[in-house]
Amino acid sequence: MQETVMYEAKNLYKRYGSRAALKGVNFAVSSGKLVGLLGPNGSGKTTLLKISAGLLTATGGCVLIGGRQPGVYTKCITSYLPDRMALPTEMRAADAVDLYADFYTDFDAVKARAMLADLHIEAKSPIGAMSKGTREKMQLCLTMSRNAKLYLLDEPLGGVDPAAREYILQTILRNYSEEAALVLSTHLIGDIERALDEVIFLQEGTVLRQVGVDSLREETGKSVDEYFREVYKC
Amino acid sequence: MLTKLLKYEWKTTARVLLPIGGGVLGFTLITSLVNHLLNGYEAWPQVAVWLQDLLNVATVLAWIFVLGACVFLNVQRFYKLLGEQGYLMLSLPVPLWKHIAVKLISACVWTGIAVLYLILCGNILSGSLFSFSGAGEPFFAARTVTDVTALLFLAAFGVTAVAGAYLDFYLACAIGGQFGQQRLLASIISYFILGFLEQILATMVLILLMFGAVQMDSLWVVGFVHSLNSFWMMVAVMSGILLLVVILDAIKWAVTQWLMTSRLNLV
Repeated sequence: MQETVMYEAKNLYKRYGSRAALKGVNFAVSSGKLVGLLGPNGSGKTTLLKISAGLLTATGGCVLIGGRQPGVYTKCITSYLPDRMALPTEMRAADAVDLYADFYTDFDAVKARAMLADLHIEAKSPIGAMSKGTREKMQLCLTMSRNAKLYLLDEPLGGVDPAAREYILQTILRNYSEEAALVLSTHLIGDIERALDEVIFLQEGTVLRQVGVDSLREETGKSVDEYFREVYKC
Repeated sequence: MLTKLLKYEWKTTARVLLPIGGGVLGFTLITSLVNHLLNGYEAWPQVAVWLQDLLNVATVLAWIFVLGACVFLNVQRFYKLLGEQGYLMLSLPVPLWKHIAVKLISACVWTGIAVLYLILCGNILSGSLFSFSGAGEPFFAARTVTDVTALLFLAAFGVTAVAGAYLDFYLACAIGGQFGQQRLLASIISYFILGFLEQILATMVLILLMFGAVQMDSLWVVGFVHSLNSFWMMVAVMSGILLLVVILDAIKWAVTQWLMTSRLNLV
């Protein structure tokens, strides 16, 4: 069966002043794949995802999502989780659900409310009064309640305790559509490795390697985590 | 999408401004009541009169606070769009111009409401709540075509001036957003530089108009102008000025939108 490329980067460059964050990034991700975007801090993961989400302008090259450059259409089919808390603190939980339901036609409000109920988040709870961990989980629930064609998750496992990490991982795996592509950036590979189909290794703004997880294991005899530690050894 | 965005903008801004407005309105009513009680008698001790004066000054300061809060909140809402809240709002499938339009419409409407609110408070404090004998008089007294035209121009100037003032803030925020660090400081400095440039531009336009007026005898314009009566003369001059202000506002909008589209750089 021919794979459909949902997300690709072609010779992508991004400079912040004199510093280059991305230096000619090339890769392609097909529908139905769960891909880990791996690399140490400062390797360009967040920059790449921000450009893909239409929140940053590339200096050169392009990103294509469903064959189109980031814009209104790609935002309709992409569910993006930023690496920080973006929900307005003055909103209540119910307002945030309504906001997603109003703007995203693929948003499943029933699923979102059920997930928030699992987290014991009341509809009237102000987001500003929630703990950092709860807010992050809530943001993830909203992101994963969309039936998007592409999920871009920036460090969903960063800065949370192991129990929360397990919850987040399960939420991602239970809720993402099998036909969608999912790209998540992380450097906590051990937690996510078993779920990944492919990995893209980034180093200093370039793609070091894009490879299937099974192929990598067979080729090197190591887990992705071990391989990562070897490649990025200080 | 525009109406949906407006709905959220209104809900968020109303949550802050309505309680402030309600509180200050209550404070104004109390001050008005105190004035009513104290002004009726002359036997009150001097301290009571001082306290009354203090209360009146505090009330006026509270009105200024309401207007300041209205402007500050609307500018802050735009500034936040280029910060962390941009991660949510700018990833919505909405063209960028709609985000700018929503912020601008909301800011202008709130400012208009704040002005009407201050007129209301002024009337309450002066004890002429329902007379509208002050600021509202020209609107109710307008009868002739000239009056109505003048009022329409006044309203148009008011809207474009308020929109222009907010677009100055927005452009300054968008310029500040180009910096990786110290964005707030960069935005404030940009605002003052923009203000300075606008003043230089306005002075240059005035000088050009002055020289143009001196040279007008040699142009066909003078004959045309003299052929008009004073009413159409006023309409022509006002329309010209209004057009200039609208063009300036459009340029500010276009540059802001370009910065946020082609050079967007969220923190």
